[in-house]
Amino acid sequence: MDEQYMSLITDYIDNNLSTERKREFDTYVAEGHIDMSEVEAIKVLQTKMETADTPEPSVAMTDNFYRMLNDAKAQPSPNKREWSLERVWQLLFGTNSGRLAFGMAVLLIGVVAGRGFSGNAYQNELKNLSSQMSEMQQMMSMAMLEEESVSERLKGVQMSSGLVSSNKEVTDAMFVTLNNDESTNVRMAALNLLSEYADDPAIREGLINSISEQESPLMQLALAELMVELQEQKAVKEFNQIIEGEYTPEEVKTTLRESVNKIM
Amino acid sequence: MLKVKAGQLDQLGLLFERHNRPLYGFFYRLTADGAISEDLVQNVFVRIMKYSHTYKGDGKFTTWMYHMARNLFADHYKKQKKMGYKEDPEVTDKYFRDEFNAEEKRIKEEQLDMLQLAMNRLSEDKREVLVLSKYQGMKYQDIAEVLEITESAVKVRIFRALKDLKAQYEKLEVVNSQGT
Repeated sequence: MDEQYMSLITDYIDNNLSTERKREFDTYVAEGHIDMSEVEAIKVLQTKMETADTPEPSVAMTDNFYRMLNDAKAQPSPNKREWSLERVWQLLFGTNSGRLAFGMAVLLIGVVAGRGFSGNAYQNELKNLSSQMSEMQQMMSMAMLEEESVSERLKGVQMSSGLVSSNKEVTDAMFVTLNNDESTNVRMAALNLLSEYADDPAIREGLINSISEQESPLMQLALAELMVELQEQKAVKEFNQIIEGEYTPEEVKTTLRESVNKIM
Repeated sequence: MLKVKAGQLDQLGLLFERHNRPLYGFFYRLTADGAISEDLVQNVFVRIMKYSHTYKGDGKFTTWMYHMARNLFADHYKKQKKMGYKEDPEVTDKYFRDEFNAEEKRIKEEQLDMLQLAMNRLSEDKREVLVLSKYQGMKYQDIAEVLEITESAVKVRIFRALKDLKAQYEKLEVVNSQGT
């Protein structure tokens, strides 16, 4: 049966047909599209339904409801929290403006995060570059410290500035230069450089140990000056050995004694 | 309802007084179980309280309420199905013949008449449309809104449901006459 007939029959059963639709209905009945006996039987059934008793709930249902209502009134705080969450949800997704605001917020977060990430990437790249640079600098300075030419070795010391203390290999190389380089100028340059980092306990220790390694009065005096400046007690013993040394020039001994006195 | 939405929970009592019986009737016609129907009515009012902020006030309150009622019934129906409960006409007919069996007892206890039994055999959507229109007396326009279909689709569904109900009812009459 066509749906148009069904809709008409429903209206007929409900006595809800307009004159025009009633005429249409009668035509379909006459043409045999609608079976009147079936329609009437359905109408009887419908009347039966409409006159059926209404089921009644028990008193307990009402009691339960009011108990629930009183409980809800007595406990407003957790409800409120829950409501506020739902309200936020409703505000964000329940309205067009909320959805728009949410979308904008997501976009903004995306842009900020995107920038943050690209900034990080940029910084990482910079870090990589600078570490590569310092590696190269280290290699070059170490190579230059081994050059024959004094001026090259001096350049090597200069180049090591900035790497001492943070780079153990360079620091060690600088001490080797300080204690063993043939040229006093180069050793003096190494001492000047290392003295800048004398706050580092390891470097300070190295400098103290270097006192006994130095034979040049210039270096000994420079170290004495430095130790006075640092007020390094541990250096006294080293200087006393030099003072007591057989071949130490008298001028040096005098100056060192003055220095030791200043430390003490 | 707008007062409930504004947080005046006392007003929920007024809504309950107005709508608890029709709602109970709605669930009872669908489930044929008094206790379950009472629970479902209670749940509707819990939901009304909980989701009052979603009521915009631009439509009929009853339409909004029956939306919730339908959802609750759908949940209940799914749960029942999961638990394996399904009414089989043949089984019901067999029970119907034997006046000492459990089904007969259930029928007597809940005072189910033949019409209700025939209703129980309809598919969920057909039963629902008949309950809303014939028992709850809702207008087709409102039913269309609740079911989210067109008004003419409601009329078509009602006709099909009534036709099916008639067939089920006649079947039961035959079984009943054989049993007595």
